[in-house]
Amino acid sequence: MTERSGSPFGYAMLAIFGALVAAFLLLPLVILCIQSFTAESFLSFPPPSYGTRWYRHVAAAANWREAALSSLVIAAIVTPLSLVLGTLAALGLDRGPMRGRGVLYGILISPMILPHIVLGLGIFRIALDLHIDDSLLSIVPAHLTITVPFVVISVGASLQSFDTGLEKAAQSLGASPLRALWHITLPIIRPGLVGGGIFAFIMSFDEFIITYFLSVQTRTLPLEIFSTLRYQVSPAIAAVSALTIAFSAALTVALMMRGQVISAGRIVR
Amino acid sequence: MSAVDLEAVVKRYGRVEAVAGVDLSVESGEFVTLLGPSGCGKTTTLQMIAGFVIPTSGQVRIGGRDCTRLAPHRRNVGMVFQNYALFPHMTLQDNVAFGLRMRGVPRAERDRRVGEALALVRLSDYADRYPGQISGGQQQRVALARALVIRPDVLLLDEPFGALDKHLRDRMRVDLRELQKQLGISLVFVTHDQEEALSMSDRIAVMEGGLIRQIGTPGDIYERPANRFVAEFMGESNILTARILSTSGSEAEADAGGMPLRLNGSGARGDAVTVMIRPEKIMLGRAGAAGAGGIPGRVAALQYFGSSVHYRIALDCGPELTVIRPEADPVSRLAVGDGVEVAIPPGIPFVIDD
Ligand SMILES: Nc1ncnc2c1ncn2[C@@H]1O[C@H](COP(=O)(O)OP(=O)(O)OP(=O)(O)O)[C@@H](O)[C@H]1O
Ligand SMILES: [Mg+2]
Repeated sequence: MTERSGSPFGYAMLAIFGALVAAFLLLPLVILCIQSFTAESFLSFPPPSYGTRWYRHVAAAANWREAALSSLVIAAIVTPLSLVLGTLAALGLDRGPMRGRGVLYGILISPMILPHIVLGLGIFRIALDLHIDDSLLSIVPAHLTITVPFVVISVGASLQSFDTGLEKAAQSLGASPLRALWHITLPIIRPGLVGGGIFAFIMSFDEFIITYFLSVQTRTLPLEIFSTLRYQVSPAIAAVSALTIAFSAALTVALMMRGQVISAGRIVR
Repeated sequence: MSAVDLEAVVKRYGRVEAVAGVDLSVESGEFVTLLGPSGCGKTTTLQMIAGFVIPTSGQVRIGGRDCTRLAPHRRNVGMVFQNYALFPHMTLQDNVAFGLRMRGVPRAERDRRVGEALALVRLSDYADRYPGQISGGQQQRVALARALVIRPDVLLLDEPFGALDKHLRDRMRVDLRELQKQLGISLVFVTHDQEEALSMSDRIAVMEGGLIRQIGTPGDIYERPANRFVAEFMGESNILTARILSTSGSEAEADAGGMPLRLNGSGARGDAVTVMIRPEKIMLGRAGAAGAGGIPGRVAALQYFGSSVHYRIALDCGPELTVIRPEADPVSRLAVGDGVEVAIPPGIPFVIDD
């Protein structure tokens, strides 16, 4: 560890500032979670009485269960597809010719910087023309435009530090290029794959704007929250939101622990 | 039958000719070294044997079979990389087993052969470790075991000892040479270190500018270099231009800027020839001392290397010579400016192509 320089006053300021930023980011979530445990029929803060009434309500309500299920199904289809497409793209960028690499990379990750409303509108038009709106046939590809860039970035970063000499070594030992990829490259870049996959899952599970354009009958969790919100501010929404947050947080923690386990294994060298 | 044949092999990258026409045969069980300065095409040549580089023209045969355009994984060639390229996510056991797994060798035989290979490089106790948990020298040995276990037609090594310290490097040289003889394996070794090449090889191919400038046994290459490049690359040398004064049989009397020389080699009277004299073959004595009786000169400079001393001698007749004497030599207490006498035994000056 290197010795850090700086005055105790500086540290104190840094700590206070850090705490303020964390509070700013987390406070709304904390309030929402507390509200979700209200025993009343209306949202208020702080709730006059506490209970798990609304969690029981959500668990029993058909609309919430169906919405959660369709979100999970979509994310479960989108995630492996994103991994395959994103990994192939990252490999292509890494191994292909230098020329045009930057442009191609920019195009591939552009959905991350384009306003989703613009993206949604474009996809909506195409889906209408092809008569595939309000179906997985349009929702899954639409989600892919958003999730694939995350995989490209995450896997691309892993490939940066990957020594292609290892693939050559595998080939000299009798592995075809495809088997070298499978047995050597993919296991070694697994942290990037796991990270990209979890990101893709959360992004898809969470997606609202583009899905909103495409859906009529289909109800994903974010859509159900939105439509419920338009008619009533039910504490059920707080409960659903709290559950979603817990789910995403669990995935993120799993991701971080994974990263730690992996780096602990490697750090020995 | 030869293990590897390269026939008029050329590799061009755009306008750069990395390999400009190489012919080379490696006999079965032979240790051949490609030696040369940086950029002379050693790695490119090796990669064409391995299949990672496809020649622009020419033919590569392995075990008599034309492999010029065959993919690397379809050749039976073992390779040891400079950075070892061990698979970091596999134990040493699994690293060594990889080639056998790819070949579909059954489990029992695989385990037996991996065990043997690890024993061969004295790493049986480390089978369950990961590459990150062993030293550089041990990694080197795993890389060797991994390449040997597939019983390759030829083993290729590209500067395999570059990352090791001197002590370990010397040890690995001896180990590799012993293993190679013991297993009777054909081997192509790449280095830019002439000592390494001299101490290990059956034959050395000295390369320059994408061409083999000379190929021969270490003795041939060192004692009888074909040209100035090889002479200079293979260690310290004195290279002089001499004029032939008279010839008798295979011997000739010549004069190099006032210094009389007796050469092996033919030539007509009056011919100018280029002559190489290895500095450690020159006798040196204090001026006037008994047994010296040679060409007079003076110590212009000296460098002390522990086991030997390198002198720069300015001869009274003009030319300068480098002379290397063992430190134990009685003349070793010479100082700069001391008068000396130099003698060059007959047959030591060697005529080379310029
Ligand atoms: N992929 C490539 N593209 C263009 N030029 C190349 C390529 N590979 C090698 N060269 C050139 O070919 C020549 C020979 O390279 P090579 O790597 O075979 O040399 P080397 O003898 O192994 O040198 P070193 O001792 O430095 O490793 C060099 O001039 C090099 O710049
Ligand atoms: Mg090289």
